[in-house]
Amino acid sequence: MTTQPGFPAQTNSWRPAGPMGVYGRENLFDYMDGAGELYLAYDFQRIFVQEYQRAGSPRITTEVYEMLSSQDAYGVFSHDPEGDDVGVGQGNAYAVGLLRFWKGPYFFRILADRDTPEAKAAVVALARSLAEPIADGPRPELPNRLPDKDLEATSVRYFHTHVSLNSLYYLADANLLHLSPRTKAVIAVYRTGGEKITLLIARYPSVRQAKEARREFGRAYLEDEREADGPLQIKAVEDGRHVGALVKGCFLALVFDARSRAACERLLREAEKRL
Amino acid sequence: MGSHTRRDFLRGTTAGALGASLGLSAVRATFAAEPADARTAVVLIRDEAALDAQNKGNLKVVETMLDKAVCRLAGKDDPAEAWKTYFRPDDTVGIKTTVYMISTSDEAIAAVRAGARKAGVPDEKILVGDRGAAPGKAKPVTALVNVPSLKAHHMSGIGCAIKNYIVYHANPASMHPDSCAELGAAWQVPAIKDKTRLIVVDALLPMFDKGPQVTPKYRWPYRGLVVGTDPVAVDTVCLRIIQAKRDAFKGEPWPVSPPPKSIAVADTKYHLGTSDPSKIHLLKMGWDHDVLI
Repeated sequence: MTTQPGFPAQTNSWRPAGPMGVYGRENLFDYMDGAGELYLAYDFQRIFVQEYQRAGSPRITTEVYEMLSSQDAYGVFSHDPEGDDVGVGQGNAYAVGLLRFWKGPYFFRILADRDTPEAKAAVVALARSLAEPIADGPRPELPNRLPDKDLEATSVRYFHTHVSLNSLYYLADANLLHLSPRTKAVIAVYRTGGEKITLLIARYPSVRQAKEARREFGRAYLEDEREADGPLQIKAVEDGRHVGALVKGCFLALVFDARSRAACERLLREAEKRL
Repeated sequence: MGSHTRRDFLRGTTAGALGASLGLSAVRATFAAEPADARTAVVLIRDEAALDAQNKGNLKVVETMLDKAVCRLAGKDDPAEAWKTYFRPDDTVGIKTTVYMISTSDEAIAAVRAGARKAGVPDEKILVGDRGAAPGKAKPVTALVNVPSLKAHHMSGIGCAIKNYIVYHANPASMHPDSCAELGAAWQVPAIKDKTRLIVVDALLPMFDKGPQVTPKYRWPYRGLVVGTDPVAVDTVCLRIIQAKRDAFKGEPWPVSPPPKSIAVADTKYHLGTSDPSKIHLLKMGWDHDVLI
């Protein structure tokens, strides 16, 4: 268990508007209703909430999400990494009054209810104050396995569960890939020649589980069991698109939306080299 | 609606015509040119002056917009007469808002309250609230106005009229699985069942991604209200607005994800209304700049 964040008593004349709120997995919905599912899909532990106010200025809500691992703090951040870099944490994005960043096992959301230059300065100062005592933590290893060529860097999302996958890229109502909190997965977009292709890589706790997920995907998604046990399967689906699946050890790689069989296989083979 | 895959949506056959409202299929269903049923009429009204340059609402403008929309929906010229189509002076009217995150604006709430007063409902019999204070839950009501804000939602695809009643369910969190498909069940709670007379969606400043948490870069001043009596038809129109905004923002299809299964299930299982665009009579009024649909 890590320690609670040190909210400053004052930042650019903004002061706490009330006591700090703390919510855990058991009562997260009391604070944010169903929005909490996003965090519960990771190894969320607690959230610390502190409001700041200054007369005549925007109100600032500071949320500090304590995760069990820095990998999952990164994972939550990866859902929306686009914005201005304000130089705080291990990754950050500022846009229109909201600063999202991560450092060590913490993910932060600092929101000014109006975007003004003064509020932005206060948000960034708060972020620096909160981040300063926290040591950097390791990033997940799985995104490093994505092929570099044609990768849209801001599209990389790291996650574990079926709920997360379907909010990022709807695949199916059922959990065809057998995703779970013990699964590590990454999804990303590749752009080449005007074509947009999606690559998903999942790492399972065992080779057996990877093969079972591959088999289920072949049966239920590709609707073709004939090759579901083979190392590589590519199928032309609707709208002239191709879907491919490849299993290697405890890894499953899937390609979606390729406009040709060759493009589908090319990306799968590139991925295979790094698995 | 059973269990489906992305491929079913690509085929354009899933969830009836609703599937064609999503960005996954190249098919785009069109709304009805003529009313098939008065209940499925949905009014979309917009006014450029509804928000100022800081996106602060203008109550007078919003109230006028709502009066015009209710007149159009009721087929009346006089706002008081139009509001009397839906409420009686002896009603206790509950205004069910959204208070968390992308909340219903004060202006939309005040405009609905003013409308109920025009129908002769005394102020003390107009209840406003959400969560534990939701009218019908905290205190009994004879009529409800459903006044959600419009946003994309990472669990349910969109959060709008159907989802706004989740607080009436005994265990709201139990409704989260399967993309919140069973949200229609919350409408069956006896305290509120069949009491919804009007739906007024606050689309003044909607959010087209990363809801329900406030992410300002995904909010845009649409300056609209969506008004109807059929929650499924209203949500189908709102889904189309969100989907169109997403596609316009990225310049390529950016499907609402997950698909809002709850809309189709509310139609086919709970019979709360229609999700078939060809049966929904969309009535557009006012400012049409970037109307999207």
